[in-house]
Amino acid sequence: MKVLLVDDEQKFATMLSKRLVLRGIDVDCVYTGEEAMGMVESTRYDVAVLDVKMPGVGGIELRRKLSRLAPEMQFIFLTGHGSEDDFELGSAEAGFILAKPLRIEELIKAIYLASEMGTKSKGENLE
Amino acid sequence: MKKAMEVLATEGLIFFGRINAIISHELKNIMATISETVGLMGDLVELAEKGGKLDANLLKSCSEEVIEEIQRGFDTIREMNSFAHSVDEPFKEVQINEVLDLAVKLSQMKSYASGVRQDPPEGSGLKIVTSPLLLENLMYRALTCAYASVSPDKEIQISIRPKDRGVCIVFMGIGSTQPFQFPDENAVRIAKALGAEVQISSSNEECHILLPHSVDEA
Repeated sequence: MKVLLVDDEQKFATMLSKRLVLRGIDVDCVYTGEEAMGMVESTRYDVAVLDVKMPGVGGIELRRKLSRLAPEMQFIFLTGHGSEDDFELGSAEAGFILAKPLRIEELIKAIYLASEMGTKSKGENLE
Repeated sequence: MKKAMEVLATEGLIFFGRINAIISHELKNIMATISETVGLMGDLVELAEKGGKLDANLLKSCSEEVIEEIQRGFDTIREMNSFAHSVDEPFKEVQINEVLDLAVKLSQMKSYASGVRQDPPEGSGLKIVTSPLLLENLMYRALTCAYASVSPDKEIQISIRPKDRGVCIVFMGIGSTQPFQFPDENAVRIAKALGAEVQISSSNEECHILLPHSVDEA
């Protein structure tokens, strides 16, 4: 399984990606929406973990752009505040939204669930 | 001054809320980074307990990271405290470089912020009577527009110069990648309330903000 992590808080993203790698997840980590689009153009990812609030291309807009590039990729949003608005918006845009600080077990669970959803939808498309 | 009070009640309150939201976001990011770093330290110890090799260098760099983030948290709280005191009095005598310094620090919480160099200030001790909150608002707006007009690796220069009827704050090195879009309608209102005059050079590379000695003179 291949995961793309996108968060403008660089130290946070770096530490989180190291923890995911220790758990056997193949993860690429970038800090801007523009970098993320470049990565998705050249690499196939199962799941993208996106911060909702980023300068330039924010998480919600980025999800739409990445979906056009990789329709089968699944998304998990990370939010700094966990406000009701964030959750409503995030839930409408992706199956999973998690508030920072994260519980790593919850993120791992969401990554596997999202990946399964992607596999299912790919299977349905093939049928 | 009546005009300034009106603008303070509207733009000032919006700005106060916005900055508080930015500060809370910054603190949350710090906490999240500390949480992941400490989590990684726990992961490394757990691996070692299971017989793996303890990566002492990674553990050490994690511990340094936590110390750095805690320091960043203390700095942020100090800036939050200074900002909170901006509304102690609607108008008062302020040292221009202190107001500018706070606006720079607050604006640096934006992740797209470029570097800022404040020139050895010939006007570092210059004082004016103004609304600290509105002046911070005007400086903050100018800075965020400046960041948007250059690539993040560029540096914006700011200097404070004495002028006959007050003080001039000069922003240089702006507008190199995008037009410097300042002042917008709200910034014009704030500048007017402060009795300030905004001048942009024809090349769009310099912005001068002229402030009167006292907002009373506006």
